[in-house]
Amino acid sequence: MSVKIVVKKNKIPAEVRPLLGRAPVLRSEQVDAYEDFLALVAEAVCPMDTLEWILVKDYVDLAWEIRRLRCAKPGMIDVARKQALRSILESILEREDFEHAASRTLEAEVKADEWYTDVAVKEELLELMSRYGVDEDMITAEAIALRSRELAQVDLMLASAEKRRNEMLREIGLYRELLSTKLGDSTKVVEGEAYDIALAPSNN
Amino acid sequence: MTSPRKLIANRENARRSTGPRTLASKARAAQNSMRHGLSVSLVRAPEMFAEIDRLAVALAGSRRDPTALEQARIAAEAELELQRVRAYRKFVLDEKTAQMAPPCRLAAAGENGGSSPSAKANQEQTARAVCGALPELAALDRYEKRALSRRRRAMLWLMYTVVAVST
Repeated sequence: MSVKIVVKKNKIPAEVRPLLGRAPVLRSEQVDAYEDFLALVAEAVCPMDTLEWILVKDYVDLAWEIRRLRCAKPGMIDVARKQALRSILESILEREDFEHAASRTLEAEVKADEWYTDVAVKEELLELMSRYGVDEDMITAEAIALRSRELAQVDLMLASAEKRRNEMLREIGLYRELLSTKLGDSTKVVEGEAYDIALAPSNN
Repeated sequence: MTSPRKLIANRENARRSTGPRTLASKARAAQNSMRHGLSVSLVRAPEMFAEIDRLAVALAGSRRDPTALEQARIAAEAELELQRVRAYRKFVLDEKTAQMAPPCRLAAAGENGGSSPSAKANQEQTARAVCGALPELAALDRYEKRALSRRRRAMLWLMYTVVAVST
């Protein structure tokens, strides 16, 4: 059963909205999903002033960026899979397996293309690969190896964004703590005044 | 080694080259090395003054003392710089996505199952864009960190003084 999360998108006050800047949503991403997420976080945190709204928006922006980078990682591996398959085929294809071209590189390229279009060829290639102890997981491993430098850079960016997002949470926490100290002190003043009034001799 | 004839010709040509002459071309040439302008402070952009002031007043809240307003202004500048960096990051990624070829058959076929073909194609497009823009994205991190640390300092001052003023 799917659970639909209902959030109020107009939770953001009209006077705050223009101060927050635009949503950092790409053309390939969904603005609605970002707005829902912002509304959800705002509902949980209940920002009280502009300063808190800015911190909440920052938290959401960073979380959105983290999500984008995390999604990009498997995508980067998927994109490299065909190149990885070609490279594996190039190393295992025997001359008698050549059907389309005389060159090993070209033959591997054509076969890698057919992997995605022809189920029979895919089965054939899986069988050939199994003879060399290679399976589909090894294609993924090869793809990761091909993109290792880029993946490491994305990991660095992810770590940096996660650190900033956590700092944002700490800042909101600190601000709340300071405000609660302020509230606590003012409560003491109010309680003190009430106590003084109670102890004061009655005029009656 | 350069021949004496070529050397003389080079010197002649260099003497004839005077660079930009008019004010407009000098102004244009001054922007030759500009890439994104993110290292230029917003204080140098007069069109941003009103926006900085508006945000600074909102951040200062009810406080109107000059020190609070100054810190709020610093925080507002840094916040707008941060928004500028993020807008540029979005621009870079959108541009890269537009330059990319349409998603390949692997994504269209949804090879691994699970997510729908269109979601997979979107994921692949974003992955290609991120991969292609990695050096620029890494460089943008520096500007974001700088703006964030400026904003944090000013905001912390504002946070602490909220308490100090009221107690």
